[in-house]
Amino acid sequence: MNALNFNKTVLISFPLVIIAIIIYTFITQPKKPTQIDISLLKGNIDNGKNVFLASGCNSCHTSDGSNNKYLLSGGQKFITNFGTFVAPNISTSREHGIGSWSFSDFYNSIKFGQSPSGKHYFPAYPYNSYQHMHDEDIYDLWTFWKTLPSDETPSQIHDLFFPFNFRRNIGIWKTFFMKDNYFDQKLDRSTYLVEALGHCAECHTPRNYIGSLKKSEWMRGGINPSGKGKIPSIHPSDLKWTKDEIVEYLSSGFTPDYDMVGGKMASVVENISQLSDLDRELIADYLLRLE
Amino acid sequence: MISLTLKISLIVIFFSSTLLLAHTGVKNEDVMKRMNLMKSMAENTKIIGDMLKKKIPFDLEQAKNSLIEISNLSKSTPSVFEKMAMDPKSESKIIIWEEFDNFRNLSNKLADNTLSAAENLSGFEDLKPALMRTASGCKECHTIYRE
Repeated sequence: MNALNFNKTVLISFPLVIIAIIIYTFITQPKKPTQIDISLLKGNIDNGKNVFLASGCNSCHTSDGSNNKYLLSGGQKFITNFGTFVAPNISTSREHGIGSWSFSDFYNSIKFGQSPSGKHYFPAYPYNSYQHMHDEDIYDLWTFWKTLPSDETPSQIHDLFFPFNFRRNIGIWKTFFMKDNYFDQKLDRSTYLVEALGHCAECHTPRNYIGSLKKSEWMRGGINPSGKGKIPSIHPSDLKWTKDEIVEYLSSGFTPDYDMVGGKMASVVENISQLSDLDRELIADYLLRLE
Repeated sequence: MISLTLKISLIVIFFSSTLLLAHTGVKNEDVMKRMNLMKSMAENTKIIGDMLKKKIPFDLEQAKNSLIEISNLSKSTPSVFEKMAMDPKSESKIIIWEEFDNFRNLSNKLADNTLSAAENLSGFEDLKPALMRTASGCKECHTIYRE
C-alpha cells in the first residue's frame, strides 16, 4: 500500500469510526434517572409484602441455606454462558446494601435496570419483567423494604467473560430486547402476576445466544440458572396439570404425584403460598390459557 | 391360549417399559435406589392426599400405615444417600455430603414427625395436619438439597 492509498483509507475510515462511536455512545447511554413524585402514593406495607412475595426477591437475594427469608444479604451464584453472576446484598444496610437509596433510585433500578450512579444492571436481575410493575406497587414494595433487616455482608463481584463484563454493552441489549410490552394480550391481573411480578418466563422460557427470551417457545422450559439440568416447561401442552393441581402445587409444593418441589422453585412456592387463593388461581388461569 | 399368552406378554412388556421410562437414563444403581425411595415416599403421601381430597375413601388404618411407611423411609434415607453417587439425571446437590449431619437430622425429624402424626391420627380431621407436617418436612429438605 503506498502513502496515497493509506491516506485515502484513513480519510474514509475516520468518519465511519466516529459515526460508529456516536451510535455506540447513543445506544448504550443509560437513561436519565426519573424523579418520582410520591406525593400521591401512600405506601401500603401489607401490599408491599405481597409484591415482595409475588416478585420473589428473596428467592435470589438471600444467602444459600439462610433460614431468614427477609435477610437479603445476597451471595447466591448463577452460572450462565456469560460467566457467573453473584446476587448482591440488597438489604437495608447503608454501606453494603441499598439502605442509602432514595425511592427514585429504587424505582429506576426496577423500571430501567439502572443503578443510582447511572450504570446498567445485568439482565440477570429480571428488570425486563419488573419494568411492568405498577408505580403504586413499587412504592408499596419500597415501604415494606424499609422494614427489612440490614446485613453487613459485602456484595461479591460478578465473574463474567469479555465482552459481557462491560456494563456499557448492556445498553445495546436493552435497546433491542427490553420492550415495554407483554407476551399475553389479555393484560389482566393474571398477566401481571405471571409476567411482571412472578417473572416466570425469566427461567421457564429458553433464551437465545445473547440471552433474550425466545418468545416462540414461551414457558417451554429453559436452562437452570443454578447451573445444572433444565427448568421444566410449564406450557399446558407439556405440563398437562389441571387448574386445581397447579393451585395445589403453588400452595403446598406437591405435584399431582405428590413429589415435593425442590431447589429454587421451593422458595418461589413458599412465597406464592402466602398470596391469596385468588392470586394462585389467576396464575393457574394464565398458564392454562397459553397456546 | 395363544391370545392369553399374548395378552400376558403385552402386560409384562407394558409394566416393564413403564418402570424403565420412570427413571429413563439413570445408570447409577445407587442413584436409582435413592430415586426409588423418594418415589415410595411420594406414593405413600399420595394416599394421604387422595383421602384428604376424597378421591379415595378415608381408611384410618391405611392412612396410619402410609404415615408409618413414610417414617420408615425417612429413617432409611441417610443410609441410601451415604455414598456420594452421581448420575446426570440425579437431582441431588453436592451440599448433601458437605453437611451430611444436617441432612441426617432433617430426615430423622421427618421420620419422627410422621410417626407422631400416625400415632395421633384418630379421624379424617387429623389428615390435613398430618399431610402438612409431611409436606413441611419434605420441603425443608428439598429446598436445600434438591436441584
